[in-house]
Amino acid sequence: MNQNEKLYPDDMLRSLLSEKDILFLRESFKDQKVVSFCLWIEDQVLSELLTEFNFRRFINNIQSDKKLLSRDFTIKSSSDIRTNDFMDNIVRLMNEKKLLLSTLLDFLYNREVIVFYRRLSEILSPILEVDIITISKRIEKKSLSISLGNKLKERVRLEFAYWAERFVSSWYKDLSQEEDISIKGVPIGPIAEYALITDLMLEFPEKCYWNQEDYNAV
Amino acid sequence: MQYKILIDPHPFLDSVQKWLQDRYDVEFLYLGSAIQRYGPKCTFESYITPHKLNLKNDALSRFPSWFTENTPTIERLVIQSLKDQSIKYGPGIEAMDLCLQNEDISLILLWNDVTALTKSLTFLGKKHGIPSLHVSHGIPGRVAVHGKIWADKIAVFGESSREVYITSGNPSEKIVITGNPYWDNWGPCSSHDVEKIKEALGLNSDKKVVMFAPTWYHNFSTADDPELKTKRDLEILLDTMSQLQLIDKVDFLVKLHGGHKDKTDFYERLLKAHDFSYKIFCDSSPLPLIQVSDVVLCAGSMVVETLLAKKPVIYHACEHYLSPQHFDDVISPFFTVDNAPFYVALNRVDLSRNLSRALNNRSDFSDEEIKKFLHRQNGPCDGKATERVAELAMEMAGTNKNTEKRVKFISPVSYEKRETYYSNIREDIPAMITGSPQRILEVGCAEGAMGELLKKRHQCEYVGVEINSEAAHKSEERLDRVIIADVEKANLKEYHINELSFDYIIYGDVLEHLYDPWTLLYEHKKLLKDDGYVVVSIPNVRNLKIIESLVNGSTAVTRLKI
Repeated sequence: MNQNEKLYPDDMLRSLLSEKDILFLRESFKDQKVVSFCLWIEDQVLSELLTEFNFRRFINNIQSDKKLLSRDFTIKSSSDIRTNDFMDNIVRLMNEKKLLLSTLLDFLYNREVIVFYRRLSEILSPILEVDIITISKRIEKKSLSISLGNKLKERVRLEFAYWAERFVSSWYKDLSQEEDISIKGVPIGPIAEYALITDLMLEFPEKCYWNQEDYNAV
Repeated sequence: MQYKILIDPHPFLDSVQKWLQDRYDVEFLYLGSAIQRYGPKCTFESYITPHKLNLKNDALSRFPSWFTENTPTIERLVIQSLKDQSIKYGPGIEAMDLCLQNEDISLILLWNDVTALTKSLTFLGKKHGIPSLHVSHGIPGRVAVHGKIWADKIAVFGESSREVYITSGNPSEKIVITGNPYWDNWGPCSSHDVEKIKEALGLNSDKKVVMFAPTWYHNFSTADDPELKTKRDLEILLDTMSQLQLIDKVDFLVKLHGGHKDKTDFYERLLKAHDFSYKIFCDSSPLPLIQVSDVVLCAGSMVVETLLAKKPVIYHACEHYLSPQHFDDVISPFFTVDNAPFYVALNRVDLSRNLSRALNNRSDFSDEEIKKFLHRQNGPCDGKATERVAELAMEMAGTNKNTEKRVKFISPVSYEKRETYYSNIREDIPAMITGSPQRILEVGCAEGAMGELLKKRHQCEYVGVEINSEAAHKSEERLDRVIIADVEKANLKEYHINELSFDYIIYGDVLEHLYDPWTLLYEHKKLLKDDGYVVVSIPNVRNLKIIESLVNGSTAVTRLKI
């Protein structure tokens, strides 16, 4: 990659992708609902914040297996996109345009879209936190209607449950040194998943990840 | 005894046990007895749990920041949970390990492979080379813990359950559709018997009977307040019945899940606040209760049980879901709002209207719709599920000596690409494709390996139909077109497949998996050109190895090649 070439934000996004991410996205973009969701983001959110990002071009590049940027390319997030400002602007938009938040939540009911969105959140996590738990923390909940508040709350509960489940079924593969946590060869980590998820949910009731005190809805 | 089966008993497996005992030289060792027998002989090691959880630095790097902010608390929970689980299950694991070393067990038969103890047992089975069969005891929900099955085979009720297990990452080749043994003799009863049951239950014969069978919400997202939805369900229903002025006109039955006996007081308190005459049941079979009911409000497998008994159902999901789309996303592949052959109440208006129609004997669903739904949930619904489960068990018990022992934990559930029979290539069928075909249809094209070969050899257009979406996506890279569908349900015309357009239609080991291959062949014949051919392969039951297994007592079809 010639550093003098103009760098589009979609190139930046591509630079964050692992081979597995690319395979995942290629599969996801075969789903029309996912593509519609991406184009909706471009039209409704990015058109106001980041006009140079072209989702269609990004999708085409992923699908056509266009060669990736050099892996040693470094993202200059602070100079190319001011990520904090960008996040602030996303939240500002969501707070201003309630329909935007509502439509986003509607999209996420679709199984393919929510799977895609979770993965996109993971990919972007080094520079932007767009997962629903983080976004919801910054939404002014007092300004939400009861129905939109409930809708967001339900999604946050589901997302918390998803990530909690993912943690309890993965932590034992992510230990820095191999430890034998087993009885007669039976690994305790995997068999204790059910108990651990229950412990987690009880330790962190809804109010821990949802600002209950700011919330007017039932 | 020729076979010894270690079984975790459950009433729905009683008929399977009886079938096997009547026909085979088989002995059952109950899991509880095994632990009692070997527990006293165990040394009871002191189990080692870490004091600190050394997670890799990037373990939570892609999680929402909430998780990294709370890492110390989460780590503390994990360590405490490991300690608790080790103390709770360690002795049982040791006893089971000793049991499997000392008893000549042919098969581990389970109705539940989701709890820590039974999961440990299936793992120990692999360690000692003993096969395990998990007979699914319900229609699984899309809760991750329901989907992670470690056993070597999973016997499921019907296609909808199979789909759930596949989407949970289980390899399709280990799933077998058997139907539910418990439902083999399930059905309606005569009006005379209804009166007798009513009398026995102390119900008023002049009143309509409304039955409510709640499920306890164990979904992880509601774990911190599991009573919330249950209470809301019941109160919405009682309010609706009051508004319909049913207080003096109905007897109200509440049938609790067998595992929720401890919740009886909770329901009692709620019901006492209303004026309905009610009865709460927990341990009894739901069948007589369904048979005397005029309408059943429920969720889960009881929907099927009620329809098998030819009674109206209302799927009570009032105010659980934000839209029909949301409902479908959570409940499918069980069913969707549009394809359910029964009432689905997502709000109070639905509930009131549906309850009123059901109690006035209005039927809005055809027998054909209900039959189709039941087949999807419970296979052929031919009363032979017991036989299928039993024969599958015997087939596995007979092959246990060949089971590979495994000493290292490898997750049996994976979304990664697996080398499966979907990627196998047949050599016999391509030899039968002669001439210069222009267009070939393969039903059950798997990953398209054979199609790729034939396409290359004959330079023809190749269309595949495949039910397994993972395999189908792979074949899309090889074939001209792939239709992802259940061929028995799909109307190929809707996929713009024209009549008289194929030179060959290939069914490689497909027809024996279908409910009604004759109708399918009749329909597909129309797609063939006048001089077209059908190429079919089916397993040969006269194969010597199969005859040998028949002589040895197993009637199950094996996966031997033709």
